[in-house]
Amino acid sequence: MHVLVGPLAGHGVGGSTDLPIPFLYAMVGASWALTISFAVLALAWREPRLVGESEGDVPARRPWLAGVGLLLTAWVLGTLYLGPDEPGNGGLGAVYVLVWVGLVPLALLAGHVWRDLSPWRTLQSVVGRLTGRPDGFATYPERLGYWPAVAGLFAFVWLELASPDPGSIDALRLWVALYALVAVVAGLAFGPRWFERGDPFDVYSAIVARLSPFVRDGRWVLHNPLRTLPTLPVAPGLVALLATLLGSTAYDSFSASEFWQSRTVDGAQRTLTLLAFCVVVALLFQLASRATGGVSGRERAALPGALAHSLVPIVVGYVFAHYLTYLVEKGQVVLFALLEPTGWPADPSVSYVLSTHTSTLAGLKVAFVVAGHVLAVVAAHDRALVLLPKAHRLSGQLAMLVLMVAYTFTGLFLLFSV
Amino acid sequence: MKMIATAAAAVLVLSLAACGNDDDTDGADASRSSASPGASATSAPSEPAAEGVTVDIEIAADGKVTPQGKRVDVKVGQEVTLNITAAADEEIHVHSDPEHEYEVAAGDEVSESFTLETPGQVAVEAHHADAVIAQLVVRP
Repeated sequence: MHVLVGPLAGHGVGGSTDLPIPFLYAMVGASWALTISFAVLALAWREPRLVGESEGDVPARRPWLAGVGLLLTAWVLGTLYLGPDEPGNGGLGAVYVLVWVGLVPLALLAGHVWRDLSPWRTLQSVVGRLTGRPDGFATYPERLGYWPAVAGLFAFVWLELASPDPGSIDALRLWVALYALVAVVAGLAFGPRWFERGDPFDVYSAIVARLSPFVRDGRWVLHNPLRTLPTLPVAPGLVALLATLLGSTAYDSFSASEFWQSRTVDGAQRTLTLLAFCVVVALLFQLASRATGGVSGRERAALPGALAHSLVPIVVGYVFAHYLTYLVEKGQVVLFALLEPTGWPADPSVSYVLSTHTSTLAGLKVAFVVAGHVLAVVAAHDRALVLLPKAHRLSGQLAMLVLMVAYTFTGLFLLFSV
Repeated sequence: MKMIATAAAAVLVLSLAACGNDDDTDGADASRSSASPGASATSAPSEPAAEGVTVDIEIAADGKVTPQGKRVDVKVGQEVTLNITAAADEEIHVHSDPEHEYEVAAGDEVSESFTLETPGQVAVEAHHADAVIAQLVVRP
């Protein structure tokens, strides 16, 4: 059987999508999210307990993983550029499914291995060693913060979700070529700092890895992820980056709704709507994190960055809920397409293990969203105890708590109604 | 302690809800695998699968398609028929596994049928118009 993935308007890779979750599931999830939120506010600890553990030194990149990274890159890019000029091209699926979505569970399970796998980092480190300039030829302008990564992420989600032809192989080939060019040039110029701040995939992986319970500072240590999450480095653009991830996932869901599909929209409208989703998520977070009394203007301006790490579990929970089937089931289709030149397996057949268990899948989706929400609320509560003056410790958290409940309700509503 | 008890209760309720409904799913799975689409009428009394579902699609001379974004409820194994009336050339894709592609030319009036074997939502798209005609909501 030849498995073919066609393009789908409004999505990089086609094929069927999840059923809406049943109303009861959405209600149970929403009730628990609400109850636990206020339980945390009212009953949880009053002194900060989740002091960040880390920033010890991180071990050097492992050469064998760098080798694996080069091989995988060669395979994916080889398939993308030399494979068939059609949407069934395994390289296209590999970028949209395995790289984009697979990056999240990889970072959760194995930490920031992207750092070891990245072929661009490998190239930079080899050139750096040969030229005697391991840190590049220029100093990365720190005032740029994460903004180059925000631009890269938005360019990627735009290509996947809002560009004129999301399944287009030519568009993806062009995008990947431009991305690789930037990664190589900026990586060589600014050294490893570029990958820590400017490379969209590297930064995404590094952020999710802070939530990994298994890896801390690049070493296998079983630990409470709420103690590594607060060590997320704060820099300009961090809130925008997380808002781009959350907003784009919500837009992806929204764009499959009857409301949106029944309208004829052009590329500009799609682009503006995608942008609006990201901007609204970011603005609300900026407002809610600043909504407290008893702080100076300077302290208030620092609040969104200082609380930004608490958005990470919400992003990860929602990405899992929204993309799990996509990763597990489309992932198989993509693997078969990538393996096609080897002739193995002779008779590929996709196992729809999640789609066929509709209730289990719906339960999992709700559980991911609620788990992400609870971790986020706990992380924000603990950080608020550090940041806010005593008199405003509870009232100062209220706006953020309400906003997190709103994010979660919106996520559940989209899972239920689309 | 209170927190832990609350969390445990939450997990319990969620998993109970999941288990309760899983039985339905598995029951439907079993009936599907044992019966051919034609014979499964007895196992789904509320909506006899044998009757099938039809979607009427119109492609206007200017390329505009109707309906757009329509939700159509389908059972796994139930026959879906697209009745296409075309006044312009169009390419209609059904994004299931395996995919179905139907090319229609101006003046065509065709009926195309298929069944869907996996629960989920399957988009029926008009590629020239770049629009989703219908979303087939396939339930077990």
